[in-house]
Amino acid sequence: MTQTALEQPFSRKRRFKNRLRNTFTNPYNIITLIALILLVYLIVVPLGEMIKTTLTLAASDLRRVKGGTEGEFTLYYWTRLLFSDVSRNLFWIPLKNSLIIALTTSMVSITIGALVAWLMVRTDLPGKNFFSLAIIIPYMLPSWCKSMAWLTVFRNETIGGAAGFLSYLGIQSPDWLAYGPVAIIIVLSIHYYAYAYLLVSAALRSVNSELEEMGEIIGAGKTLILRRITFPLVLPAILSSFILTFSKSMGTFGVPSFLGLKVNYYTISTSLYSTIQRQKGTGFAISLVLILLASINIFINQKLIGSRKSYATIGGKGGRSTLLPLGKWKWPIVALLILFLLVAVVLPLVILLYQTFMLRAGDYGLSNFTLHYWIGDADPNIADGLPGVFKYDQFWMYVKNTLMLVGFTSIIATVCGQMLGYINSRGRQLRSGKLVEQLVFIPYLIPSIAFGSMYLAMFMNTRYLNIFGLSIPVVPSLYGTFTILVLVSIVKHLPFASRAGTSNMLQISTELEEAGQLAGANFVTRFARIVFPLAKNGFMSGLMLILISIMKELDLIVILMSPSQATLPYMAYTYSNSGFQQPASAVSIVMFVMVFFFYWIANKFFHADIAGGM
Amino acid sequence: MSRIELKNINKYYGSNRVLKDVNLTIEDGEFMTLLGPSGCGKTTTLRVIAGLEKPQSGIITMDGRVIVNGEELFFESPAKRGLNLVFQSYALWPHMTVFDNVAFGLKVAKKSKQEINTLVHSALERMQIDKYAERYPSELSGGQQQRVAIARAIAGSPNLLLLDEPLSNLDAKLRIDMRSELKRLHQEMGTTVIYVTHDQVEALTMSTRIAIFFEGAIEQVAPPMELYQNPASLRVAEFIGNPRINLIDGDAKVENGCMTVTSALGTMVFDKEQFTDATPASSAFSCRVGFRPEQIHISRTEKPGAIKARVYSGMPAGSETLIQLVIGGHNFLGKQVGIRHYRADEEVWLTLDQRLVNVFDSGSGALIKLADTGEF
Amino acid sequence: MKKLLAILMVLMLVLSACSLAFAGEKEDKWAEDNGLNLDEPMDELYEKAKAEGKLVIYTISSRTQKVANAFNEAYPGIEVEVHDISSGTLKDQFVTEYNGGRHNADIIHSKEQVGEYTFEIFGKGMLHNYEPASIFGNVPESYLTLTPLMLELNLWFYNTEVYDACPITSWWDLTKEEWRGKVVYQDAAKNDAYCAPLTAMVQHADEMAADYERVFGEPIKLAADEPNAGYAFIKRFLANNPIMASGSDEVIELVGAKGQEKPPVGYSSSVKLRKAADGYAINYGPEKMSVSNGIPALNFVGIANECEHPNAAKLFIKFWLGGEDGKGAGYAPLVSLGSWSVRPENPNAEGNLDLNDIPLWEIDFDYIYNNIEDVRDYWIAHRN
Repeated sequence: MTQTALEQPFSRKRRFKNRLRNTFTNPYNIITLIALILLVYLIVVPLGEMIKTTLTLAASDLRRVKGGTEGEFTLYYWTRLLFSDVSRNLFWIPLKNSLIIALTTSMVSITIGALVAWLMVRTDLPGKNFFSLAIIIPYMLPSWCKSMAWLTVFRNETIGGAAGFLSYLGIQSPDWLAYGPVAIIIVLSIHYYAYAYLLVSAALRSVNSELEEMGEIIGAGKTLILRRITFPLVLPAILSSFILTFSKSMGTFGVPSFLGLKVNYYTISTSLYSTIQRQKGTGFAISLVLILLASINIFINQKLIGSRKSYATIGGKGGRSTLLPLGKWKWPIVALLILFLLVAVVLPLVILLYQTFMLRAGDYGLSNFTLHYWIGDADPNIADGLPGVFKYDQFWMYVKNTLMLVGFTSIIATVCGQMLGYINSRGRQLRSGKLVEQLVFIPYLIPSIAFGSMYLAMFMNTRYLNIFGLSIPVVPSLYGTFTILVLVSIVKHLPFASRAGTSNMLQISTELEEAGQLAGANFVTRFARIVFPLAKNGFMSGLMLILISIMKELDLIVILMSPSQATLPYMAYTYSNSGFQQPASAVSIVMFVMVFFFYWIANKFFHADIAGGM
Repeated sequence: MSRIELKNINKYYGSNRVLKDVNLTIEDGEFMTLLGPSGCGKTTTLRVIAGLEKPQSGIITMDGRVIVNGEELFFESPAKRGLNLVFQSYALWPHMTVFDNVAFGLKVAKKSKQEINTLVHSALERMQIDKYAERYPSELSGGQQQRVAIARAIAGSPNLLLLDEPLSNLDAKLRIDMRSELKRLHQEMGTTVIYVTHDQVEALTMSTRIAIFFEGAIEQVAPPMELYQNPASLRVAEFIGNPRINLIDGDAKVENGCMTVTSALGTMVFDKEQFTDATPASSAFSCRVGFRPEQIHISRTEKPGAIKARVYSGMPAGSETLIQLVIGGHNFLGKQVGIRHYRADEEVWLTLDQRLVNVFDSGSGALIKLADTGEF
Repeated sequence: MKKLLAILMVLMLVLSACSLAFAGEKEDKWAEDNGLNLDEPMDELYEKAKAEGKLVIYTISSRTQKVANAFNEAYPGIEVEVHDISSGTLKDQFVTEYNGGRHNADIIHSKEQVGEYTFEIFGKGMLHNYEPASIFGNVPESYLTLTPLMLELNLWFYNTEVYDACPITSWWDLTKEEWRGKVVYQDAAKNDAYCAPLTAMVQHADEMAADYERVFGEPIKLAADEPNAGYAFIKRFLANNPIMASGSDEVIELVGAKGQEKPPVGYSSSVKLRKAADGYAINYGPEKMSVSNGIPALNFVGIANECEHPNAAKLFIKFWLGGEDGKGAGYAPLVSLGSWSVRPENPNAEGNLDLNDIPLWEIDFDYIYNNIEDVRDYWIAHRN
């Protein structure tokens, strides 16, 4: 105590002492400081390192830059990427392809998503309970699994190999449908429409239908109401889904790699993947362009919506809602929806499942039926002697790896997310709170594949900081370890986790905490006895949703993976690349079942809303 | 058992100055109400006293002990100030039972189980909600939740009880019940109370003194009836009283220790005893004459010294009747007890006791003529 | 945002202050001190190795464990640890550990095709060759830039259900209309094994030009953006819409799946011939290929600089190559279809072609290392 009971003249020294004490005893400051240090270390430094790599000449490129020395400043990588003979094929064409895919995918999936959302929320569509679950199932099956299913159906003789299903029936699907942009757009659209569906339906629910009724009273027709009242009200949600879908499709790697590479159709992410393994400098330069594009996208959207929180879900309680009768359209629409679900949900799953029972790929007859890929013993004449997945030790190891990865990552990410949410919700008006919020947002801008490569560069070698002649290791070499997979997954999911944490913490009024403060409870007690018990449900639901997302993650960790740490998605991806379609499908099915199971738990016990952290 | 003194408290949010040199002394055992329109700084003042906000400058002492020194960045932690606060939203912890809500602070203070039991039940009994001890807040009505919030605040016998608009979420009837409940509670416990409200009736009926806030500064501190009878400024005069005070423009002239005011009400002369510190020694200026609706006596027959007026409209409401009156283009309100029926444009005669009238300087808004105080 | 930028700048300054520790230049002396230039008898090495007691191997092949098992039987008392690491990772892992001062591995076994090990690892003294005359005396000079273990090739596979013999006999066949969209290759931008033969082609452009004339009956006319016949092949090959597989296994699958009417041909690793037993209708016929089938990938071994068990490493390498007579148990696990020893004394797998019957270009790591990136860029520039 630096203050006595009596009043004393002003003392600068006491002010300073009190300032120090206030700063370092305020738990908010301490958490924020720790968060800032960690965020800078895990986000800003790798980003800086990435920028630095694009401007530093690497040893293996000395043969390209005559007279250069290792480690010197160079514009070689940027020049090669943007203004050289290879720029067109390495960068500009993939960029054009990516933009076309991202734009078209966004438009298609938002149209589908918004339409379905409107049907679900605003009309008397029958069977809503069933549809509300069925419609988000596609989201639980990774998009690249869908492209595997796509190939199984549409594969024609153009690229050779085992026949696709249509081909088996004697129907040759045209090339433009089987591979390349159309296939990629369709597969991505039946995956990403879930975003638009979730965001728009939340927005529609929050729009009081009295607003629409008001329109009816003044005599506006139904289409006019839809166009002039409903649409503008959900426009922010639509733009938010646009940002999400656009940036996700820009950065997605799995789908274009399955459906594009064989026919030489490159997107910016597949170009990035093939470049980064050969030449980090150029690869990182592509990553930076991707980050820039994502930032511009968000910037434009913010200008359009005119709100900083544009990407946030429009929450709020539903007003009274009158359902629009569909009348004679009811059953045709139901039929159409079911048809859509068949194509988007049932078909890919059935195809993948069916494939696991085929002894030889391409023969869809019953005589070819086998359970070998599930429970068979190793046979040197089938799939290089790979036993059925349930009989395969490695499979169980991968299951264990996957569970470990999702377990560690989701728990740590969620705890961090709640802490960050606490800072965000309690420090909104403070500069530190805003800075933390902005830093946390950065991983959102960086495409998964670029993020993975960024961490590869950062944690490849042990780095030492030389201070006064002492070498202090500041960055450990984590390449090929389990830790780096956990680390990269946590940081990449922080925006999601912190958003979920913020909305969770905002629900807990600061007054509840202040009441505890007045009752004499210190920060730890308050957190343990008041904040945490109230945040529990949101915590668990955030945890489950992160868990689901990491469970199917491929893009982010594909670059960092080493065989002993492999996870199920990686296993399926490698099998598929090695031509083992059946084991790949079997692993995908197992993965889907696990994801579905966790979603079911999250939904059943914690009332998780999958849109919570978008 | 606590005397609080606030000296030159200034509080900024960014460049927005929300408290401007607030000076206030709250005597031991007082029921002090901070009153003002929304956004005037009254809740901020309360939170500064509670320790939930930190002022940039100023000193607060509690029984002579400094608990806040803004310049030196010294802020005693809220828990050590010996006070408790009832939040506007009640801020009951939804995951704890009523008992646990009230017991939480005692548990944190590491009191024995038995002592906690006794204290909690005594607080709950005092608020007549003992039977709900095992319920969760969500299972209680708004009024019951309010009682829990108060019980929680008084369970630890604080020296100072802070209440932040505690009745604003209750319906009209409950509000009147709780008002008397709180007043009794204050008298029984003898604790110093600081009460924040924007409702002048609450303030006038419950407080020992009222501090009236405008735009972050205290305009006047006075006992309720003094505030009503002699508002220090036009702003206070217009804020206090329902229906509002009548204000009529006039011209004032001060000379030889006398003030002559000429207005639609005729000419009034006031002598020196009725002057305030703000009354100028001698000059002529424009002024506003203030008088309360109930101070006007209305007669349907002509009386000597009465002023003739025209009824604009009469509004009987059972217990009282409000009458909108016009004199020479000036509109004002009269009030009579009981039911009276007036026709529009009826002619009436008014009398007004000059002693009860306030006069304000139109320029500065300051009170320049005191009304007689007492029971009228 | 300005603040973020400022923070970024400061951090970059801090980072540039960080420096990586590099080893000094005592590597040659270490090799000499540890007798890597000597040809000690295996018994003598065994005695020294027993004193060391242990050996750590980083390898890209699962078969190395079998070699280790045989070694344990022949030379008990030395604990051999085998780490099977993917070829993409092994180099990075070794370099990382080496630079961090951790000398875990004694022997490194990997594949060299483009000279990266030669120039970036051996050249800096991080790995040493061990080529005693009693083992390598009869090995052709061109294979001795690195201590060679065996050779693998990439060869053209065809579908045996449709073709009786390999339907292509020249690289130029692949540019013909009849093979349009019917050739499976891998992206040379990503995969060195597919870029190296193209680089060799550029090096041997004269031979390519002569072969063109043989195939088409007229001399090649080079366009302005075709510096020589090698480059011309790359451009025309890409213009013929090859299918890009994502791995050797996929090449085999696309070529060899049964029931195809018009199967493609595909370039894949020779060891994949074993997939014929796996239900794929595949074979290769490299003898008839004019000029060359490409360049071999050299499986090499190296002893890590400053490793802890140099004598055990020397003994193991001698054992691995089949001992002094080449017939020992160490080489047996390596005998398989589609791989060839560099030592004439070693046994060849039954039914394996004679290496001398397969037309190949000689390995020239120097040329390939210094030109492969230009070829790669040319490939990328003409990719679509």
